[in-house]
Amino acid sequence: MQHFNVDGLNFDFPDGWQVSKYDDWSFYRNQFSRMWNGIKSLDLIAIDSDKTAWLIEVKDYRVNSRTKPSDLAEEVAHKIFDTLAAIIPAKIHATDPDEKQLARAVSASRKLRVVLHLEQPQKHSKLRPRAINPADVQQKIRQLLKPVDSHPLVVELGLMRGLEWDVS
Amino acid sequence: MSTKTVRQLAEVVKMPLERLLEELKKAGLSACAPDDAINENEKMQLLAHLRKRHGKDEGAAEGSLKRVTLKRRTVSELKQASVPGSTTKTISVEVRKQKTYIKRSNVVDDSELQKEQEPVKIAQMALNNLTVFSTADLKFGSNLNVIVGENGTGKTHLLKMIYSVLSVSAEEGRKPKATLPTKSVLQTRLADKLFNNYRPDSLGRLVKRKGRERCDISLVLEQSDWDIAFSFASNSKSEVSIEKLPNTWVDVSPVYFPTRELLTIYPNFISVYEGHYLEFEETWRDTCSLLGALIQRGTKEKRIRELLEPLEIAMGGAIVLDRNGRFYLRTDSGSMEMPLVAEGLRKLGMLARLIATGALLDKGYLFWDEPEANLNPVLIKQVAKSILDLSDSGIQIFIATHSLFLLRELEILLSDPIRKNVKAKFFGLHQTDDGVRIDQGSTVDDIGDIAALDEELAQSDRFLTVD
Repeated sequence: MQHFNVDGLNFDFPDGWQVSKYDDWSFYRNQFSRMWNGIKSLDLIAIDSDKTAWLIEVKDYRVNSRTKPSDLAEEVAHKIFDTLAAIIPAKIHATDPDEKQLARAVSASRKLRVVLHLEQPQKHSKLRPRAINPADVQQKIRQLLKPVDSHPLVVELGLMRGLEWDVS
Repeated sequence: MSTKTVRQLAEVVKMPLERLLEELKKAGLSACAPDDAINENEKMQLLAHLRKRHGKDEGAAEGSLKRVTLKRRTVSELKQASVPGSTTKTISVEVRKQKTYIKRSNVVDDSELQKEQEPVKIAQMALNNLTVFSTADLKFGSNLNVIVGENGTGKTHLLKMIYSVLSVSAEEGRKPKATLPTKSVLQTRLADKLFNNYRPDSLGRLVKRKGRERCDISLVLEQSDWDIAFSFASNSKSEVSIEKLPNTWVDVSPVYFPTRELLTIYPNFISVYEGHYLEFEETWRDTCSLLGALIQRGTKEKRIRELLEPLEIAMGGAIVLDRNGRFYLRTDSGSMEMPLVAEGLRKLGMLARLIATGALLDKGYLFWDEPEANLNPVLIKQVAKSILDLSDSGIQIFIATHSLFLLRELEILLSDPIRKNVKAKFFGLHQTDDGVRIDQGSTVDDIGDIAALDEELAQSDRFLTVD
C-alpha cells in the first residue's frame, strides 16, 4: 500500500499504481504556476494497472469551507483543466525524474476519470441531511467536464462507490 | 399442337375479345389481331402476366408452389321425422374447411407493410420571431423531448406551437368530407387554432416585437407529405400565410396535457365551452374531448393493460366515466368522486384514461406541460416511467419541466441498457438580450446551465452561512 495525506485524510492506494501529489510537484510550484496568477492544481494523480488516470481533488468541509458549494464544481473543473495543461510540458521539461515519469504515464493513459472526494460540513438538518447534495455537485461537474470524463464521481468516507483506494 | 387464334382463345377462356387483345399487348406478346395465332408458350406468358397483375409473383405462375391450400369437404345427411308418422325429412349437411399454408419466406411483405404504418415522428421545427424567441432550429428526438427552462422562457409556447399545427391537421383530416389540404382552409384554421390555444389579444401579438416583424414557423416530419411552413405578421388578425402546404393531413390526434388536471372539470365542459366564450385555452377542450372517448377494446388491450397497471397501482384504483358524465376513481372499497381524489392522482388519472381509450397507445404525440406540477416525488417517479414506456410504445413525447427531480428520474431510467434505443433530446432555454436562446443535445449536460440545479447549490450556500 502507498500512503498519501491530503488535508488530513489518509489515502491508501494499491501497490503497483503510480500515484503522486501533483500539488507538491516542483515543476508545478517553481515553473508552471509562475506563468501567471490563478493557475491551480489538483491534489492527486493516480494511474492504475489498466492505464486509467484518476484525477483526484479532495475537499473536506469539516476542516475548511473556503469554497462555496455553488462554486465547487467550477473550481474542480478549473483545477482539472490547469493540471491537464501541465502534463505535456512536465513530460518534456520536468527536472524531477519521478514527475517526468508520471506525466509520461498520464499522457499514455487509456482513460481519464475525475473524482471529487467531498467530505460534508458538520452542519446538517432534517431537511438537509447532507448540507451539500453530492448529486448536485456531480451533475455540475459533469456538465463542465464532459469532454474530459462524462462520468465524474463525487465520493466520501463510507461511500466510495467501488473505487479501489481506501480513505481514512 | 394446340395453336389457336386469339379469337378461339377468347371463347375458351370466356373473355371479351377486345380485353384479351389488350392484355396480350400488355404482356408484351406479338399477337394483336383477332386472327393471329397464339402458341402454347405465348399462352404461358400471358398467364404469368395475368397472375402478376393479380398479386401473385412469377414464381407462382411457373408452378413452384409457395402456398398450399388444403380443403376438406365432408357431406353427410341427417334424417329427421318432424311429426311421428309423417314422412321423414332429409337434411344434407356439408362441412367445408380450408386452410392455406404460406411459405414463411413469402410473408416479408407484411413487415414492409408494418414499416409503412410506423408512427411518423416530428423531426424538426425552425422558427423566427415567435414570442420570446428570435430564431431557433429544434431537432427533435423520435421518442422523448425534454424542454428545460425557467418560468417565462417560453417552454409552453414551444409545446403549443407544435401541438396547434398537428391538431389543426388532425381535426381537418378527421372531418367526414375531408378534402386534401388547401391553403384557404389552413390559413384560417391555423390562425384560429393558434389564437384559441395561446389566447393573445390578437394573433400578431405572438410575433416577437421589435418594430414590425414576421413570425415564421416550419415543421419537418419524417414523412415529408406532412411538412408545413407558415408565417404571420405582427399586424395579422385572422390569417396566417402558408409557405409550404402539406400534401396530406396528419392521421392521429395529438394530446396536450396542461399543467392542471382536467378530469374534475370534464362534466359538461365541452358543451359549455362550445356554447359560450370562455377564457380557457382550447387545449383544455381538445383534451376533454379525448377524455370522453370510448374505451379501446380488441387486439391492443394487452398493451393497454401493461401500460395501465402501474398507474392503477399508484392510484389505488381505476378511472371510470360514469353515465352521469363524471369521472370516478374505482377502488376495491368503492368509487370516489374525482374532486375528492388527490390532485396529483387526478393527473395520473388523466394519463391512465387516455391510455385506456387508445389515444395514447402506439402512435401519436403527447405534449405535457410540467408533468411534475402537483405531484409528490413518488408520483413523479411513476410519471417518469410511464413517459418512457409510452415513448417506447411509439408515442413521441414533448415535456416542459423545471423539476430537477423529474430530470434526474429520467436520467436514471435512460441509463438502463434496456432503454438504450430511446432517442431523447434535451432543450435548455436561456434568457439573453436578444430573446431566449435554445441549447440542445442528447443529454441534460448539453443544454447549458440548469437554473434548478444552480438554485439547489445556492441553497446549500445559504444553508451553510446561517448560524
